[in-house]
Amino acid sequence: MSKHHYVLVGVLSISFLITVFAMCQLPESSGSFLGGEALLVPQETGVINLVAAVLYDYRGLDTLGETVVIFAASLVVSLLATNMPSKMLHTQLSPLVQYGVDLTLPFILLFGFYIILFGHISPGGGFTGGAMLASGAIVATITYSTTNKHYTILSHQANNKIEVLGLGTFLGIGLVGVAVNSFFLANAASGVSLGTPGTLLSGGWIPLLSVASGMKVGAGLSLIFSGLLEEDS
Amino acid sequence: MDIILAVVLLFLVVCAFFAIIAKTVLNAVIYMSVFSALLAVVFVIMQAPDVAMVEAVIGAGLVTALYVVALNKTEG
Repeated sequence: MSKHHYVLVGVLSISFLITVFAMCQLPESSGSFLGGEALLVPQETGVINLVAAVLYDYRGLDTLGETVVIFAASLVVSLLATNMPSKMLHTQLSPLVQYGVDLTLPFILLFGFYIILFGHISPGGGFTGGAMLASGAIVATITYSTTNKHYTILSHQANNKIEVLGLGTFLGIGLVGVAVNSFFLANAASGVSLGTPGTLLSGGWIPLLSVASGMKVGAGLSLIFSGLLEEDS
Repeated sequence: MDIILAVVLLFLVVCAFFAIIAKTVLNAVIYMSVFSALLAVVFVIMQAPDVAMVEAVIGAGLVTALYVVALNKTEG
């Protein structure tokens, strides 16, 4: 082990000790952490998932920034990634992998769509669901590219269109707030009906924002992967 | 619950340790993937299912795939 390694091992030992000390001081009760102002969230935003309310209503601008970061990353990858031939596409996978992916891929994609659409009711949301869809696309690319040269679920152009459409929808919903003399990305303040908290059509713009950011993140992450993997073609 | 959390937290540190002393970079990537999966369990115990899902999908799935492709490109 080099000197570099000893420093890292030292840091790890210290973090091990800190973990042990922190475990002794964890709060006893694991009951609900909600209380006070958090209980106002369903009335103010129409959603019962607190995290979705923060991501798409109170701090919607931050979510826009996150999705733009992925946009920038996919842009840089497609600009800088070299077109070196990838060995990975010529590997042989066992039939077990092929049939396993055949069986599970529809469920991975279905769960991704479910997470996006129910983000305001149960845990999840656009970012998580989009990442799940992207990992489904990556699994399909890795598995089927061995028999079918550079297989992708959606073509490069289709992914590009979905990404831009998602970003445009997000910005358009944000500008609706400005158009009705409120602030950017306004939800309840823009006069949209909030519906009954806990139902599928509730929360004003939040489900639409979730779908938009799901399209954006899913297409963006698949573009990053296929841009890295791409063979000279 | 406390014992499960303690065991998982200790395994996290062990995984990080093995990721550092791994002989090849590919092994280190696999250890980091296991680290992310365990971290997702910690988030569930801490009642943060949203973060746990993101950690499981991005940390254990996407980032591992990207690392493996990057390794394939640079070593080949």
